[in-house]
Amino acid sequence: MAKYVLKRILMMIPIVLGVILVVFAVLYFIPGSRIRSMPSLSGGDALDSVYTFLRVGDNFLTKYVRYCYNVIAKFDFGTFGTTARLLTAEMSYRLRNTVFLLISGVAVTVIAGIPVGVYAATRKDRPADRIVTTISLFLSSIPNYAIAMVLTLLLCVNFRLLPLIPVYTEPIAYLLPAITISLGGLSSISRITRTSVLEVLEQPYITALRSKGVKETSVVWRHALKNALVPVVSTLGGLITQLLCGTLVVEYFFNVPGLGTFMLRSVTEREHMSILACTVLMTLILSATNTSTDILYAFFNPQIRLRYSKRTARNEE
Amino acid sequence: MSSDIGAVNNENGKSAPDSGAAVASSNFWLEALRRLFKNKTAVFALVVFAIVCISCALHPYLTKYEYMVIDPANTKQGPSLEHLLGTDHLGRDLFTRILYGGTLTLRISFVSTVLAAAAGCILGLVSGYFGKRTDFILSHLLDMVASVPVFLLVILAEAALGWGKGNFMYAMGIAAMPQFARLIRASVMSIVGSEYIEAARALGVGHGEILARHVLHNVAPSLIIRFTSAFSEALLLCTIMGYLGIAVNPPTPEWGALAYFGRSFIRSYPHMIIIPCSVITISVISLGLFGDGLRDALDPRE
Repeated sequence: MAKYVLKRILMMIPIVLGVILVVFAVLYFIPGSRIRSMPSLSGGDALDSVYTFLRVGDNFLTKYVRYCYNVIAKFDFGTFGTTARLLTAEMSYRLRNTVFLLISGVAVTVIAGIPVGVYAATRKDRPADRIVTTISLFLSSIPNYAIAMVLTLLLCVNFRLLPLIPVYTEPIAYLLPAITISLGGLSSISRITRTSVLEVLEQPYITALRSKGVKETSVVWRHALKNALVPVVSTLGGLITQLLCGTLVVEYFFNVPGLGTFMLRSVTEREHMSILACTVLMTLILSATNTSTDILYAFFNPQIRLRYSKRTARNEE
Repeated sequence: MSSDIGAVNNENGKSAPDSGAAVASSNFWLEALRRLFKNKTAVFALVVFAIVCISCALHPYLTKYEYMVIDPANTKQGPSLEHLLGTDHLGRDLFTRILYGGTLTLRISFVSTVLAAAAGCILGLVSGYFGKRTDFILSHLLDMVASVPVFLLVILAEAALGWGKGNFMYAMGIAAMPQFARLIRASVMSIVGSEYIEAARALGVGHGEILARHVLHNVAPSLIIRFTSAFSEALLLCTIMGYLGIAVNPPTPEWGALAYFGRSFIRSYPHMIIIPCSVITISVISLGLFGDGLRDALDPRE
């Protein structure tokens, strides 16, 4: 098992390096020069000295390797293009907000979505199930800015439960964005849970439990749910990717100082170093979540665990 | 006609295919189509989506307004006979803008899905069929693409190719590609071991012909199901990008962009945002319901 975990973690390295390479190449080969567009540097010696200072003459590969080295070894993302401010401080502040938002969104999704799915499965084809299925279809088809807008109007304007213009140092400010993010994922996770619980409930061991006189709630929530969660966990990685996209959009809507707003702004302002830094951080978040969901899946699914321990045993022989 | 329907019912009632059913179901696609048309929800959804598509395609004949002509005398009007869905803050007819925007939104999402399906299909076929090292390299590359969020790919494409020119549909296509490739790869791997593929190979049929004639033929149903759901995902994504101002530049209308312009007037003139949002939702829901019906029709096991 430890070997599997280690292998999964090591597999992150080429993915992250590869993604940096692609993004770096895209930004490197875009035509146009920031330095030339600065009015104070009309040409001549000043331009030359800036060129040498910024090491513009170095070739692509040298720059790429230097960038990777700086990011990984020194955690240095470079500076803003316009001001010489360091990016790392800005990024760490924004990364914290985005990760906080993402984690709370995923938590709400999982905590609310799984019980809803199980409930719908126990009421299969009855009105409660129909209502849940219809609502989840509806929620998954509305763009998330529309959900955000309706929620803002209801909770902040009409009922005045939450501040309309929140301060993003207080946790309460993240409530509405987190709910908005989770509503998109809620429908997919409840649908998957529903199908998977229904499948498990058909199996003979459930019939055996029922005929032994085990209570229906215990059958569903203790015995069936444990097996039904395996496919749910396997889709968690994709769900988090989907929610991360949602987070970026929702951030923009609620003006949360996170990576998404920063990234959109950097693209309009052509801040290549910032785009690069955002990309690197997001890829890191995603590959970390993918790796951890894979490991979680291995823990949940005895088949994988067993296969892996067999293989390691064979290797050691 | 009535005897025809009776025959279908009869056949569906039997679980084990006997000789009579085998003759009737010899044409898989016709059978699936018949099952699909028996599903009222799916047919209704298809009709709704077709109406949306056709009216968008026929937009020059359906309205007398231009999508970018400003009319300062008639700004922010509610729906009326003159302006079917009202006007926006510059007096432009919303019905025209919705129809014209629809051509863009639908085209962008359709083209990106077609690109994703084509590229994913080729990669999935190659990696599933040849296996070994090809498969190893391709599936790792695809994992890499899949680990980059769509949003990021789209933004990168915009940064590289220019802002608001619809270039991002290539990025959307690339982002949707790994899912197609994985699906195809998994189905191909389950088919490749079968005896008829082996027989074809023993008869000296080339790789290309086996892939095109036998493997692709078997993969087609799951490909079609995936295509509809990818299309609705792309539609939603396209409107989100439009809302963020990435998809198109103003004054070009796009459903998401229309919602963005409507958002400032939400309290006084809510029709300006409700209409684009409901058009988006109706299209996505109808596409989703049609996809569900399609899955039931093509995958009769459930």
